[in-house]
Amino acid sequence: MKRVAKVLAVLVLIGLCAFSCVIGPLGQGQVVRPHIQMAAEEVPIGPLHVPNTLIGLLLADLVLIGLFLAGTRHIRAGRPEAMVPRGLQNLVEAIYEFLANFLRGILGERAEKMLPLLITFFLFILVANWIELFPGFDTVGLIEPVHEGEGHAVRSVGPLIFLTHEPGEYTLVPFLRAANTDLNVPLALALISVFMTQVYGVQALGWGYFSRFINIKALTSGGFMGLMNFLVGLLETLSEFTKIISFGFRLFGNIFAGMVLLLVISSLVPFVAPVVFYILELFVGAVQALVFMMLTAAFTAVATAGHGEHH
Amino acid sequence: MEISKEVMKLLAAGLAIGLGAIGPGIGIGLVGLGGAQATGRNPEASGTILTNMILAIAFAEAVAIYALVVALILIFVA
Repeated sequence: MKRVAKVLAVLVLIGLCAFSCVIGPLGQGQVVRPHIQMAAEEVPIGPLHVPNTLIGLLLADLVLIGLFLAGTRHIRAGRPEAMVPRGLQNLVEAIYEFLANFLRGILGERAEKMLPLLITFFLFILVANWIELFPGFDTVGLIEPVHEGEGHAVRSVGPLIFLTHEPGEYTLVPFLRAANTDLNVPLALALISVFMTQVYGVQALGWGYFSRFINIKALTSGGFMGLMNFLVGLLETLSEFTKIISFGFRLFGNIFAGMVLLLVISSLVPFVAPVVFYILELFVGAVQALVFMMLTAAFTAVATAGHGEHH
Repeated sequence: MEISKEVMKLLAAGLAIGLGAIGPGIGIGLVGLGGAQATGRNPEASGTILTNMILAIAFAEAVAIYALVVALILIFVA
């Protein structure tokens, strides 16, 4: 009986796929080609025009803050049961300990001061990326007249209005969109990361940290190698700025490309096929969060290591 | 289709990211090869290897990111 059920389920899936690939587009079931836009769409809320990525960002914040407030409530209340973590507190502690131990492995004893920032980077980026995968993101929103590009005709079913594949003059302004698909958010994170790297560098090495960039001592010591060391310092300065660009665009590029991929695949083969790409996006979201945290940690490790100690 | 400025822009953007991704693709593949071999030879060091591998991948990937920036500029700004 179980086997029959399995075979039936597979057949139904294949049927849905065939419908979505072949039969659907021929009939009325043709799906809407997605409208892809780099800048965030603006949702009017009262007198304000709120970018939908801001709503996605606040939602991610809410999830994170809610999870950790609920997870640490026994600790903050000073109750004795906090000593033996149960349920949510266990989860929260496990997440924290895993990340903290991982970072201690990279940074050694310097890690303690940087743990809050690095773990916040990881958790925020992870939640902001994964929240994109919930139903309703990029698909539910206001139907508005199109300003540029091609629009779609609309069809109303009961109280709901749907876009159809026929050309028209309406487009969808989604309520929700992942924060990292707006270049402003990754760039802000990148600026925080690079700025804090300088702060930790100064904290570890004093103002002598900046001799990494403008190495007057090497220049005045004379000689060809002194000049070369000075020029290497200038290159270091440039690389701090390229770090901002590569941090920002790495995160933005990966998550924006993920969003476009999901939208396009969902419009080509709406059944089953997107699942594979959802799994891929789960992976990409986690990897990007990890990479952002690890790179910040590695750059901080470089910045806090004494300059010239290895001579 | 007539070859207009718009068409050339899209073509240039496609070429920029397409050609720009070849090098980093090979580079990241080589990093992965090295990382997998190193882990195979010395499984205890997998943590350190992973850290260094991700760092190296990030540097290789940065080149692809510059290509992406160029492509985005071509489409949206130029």
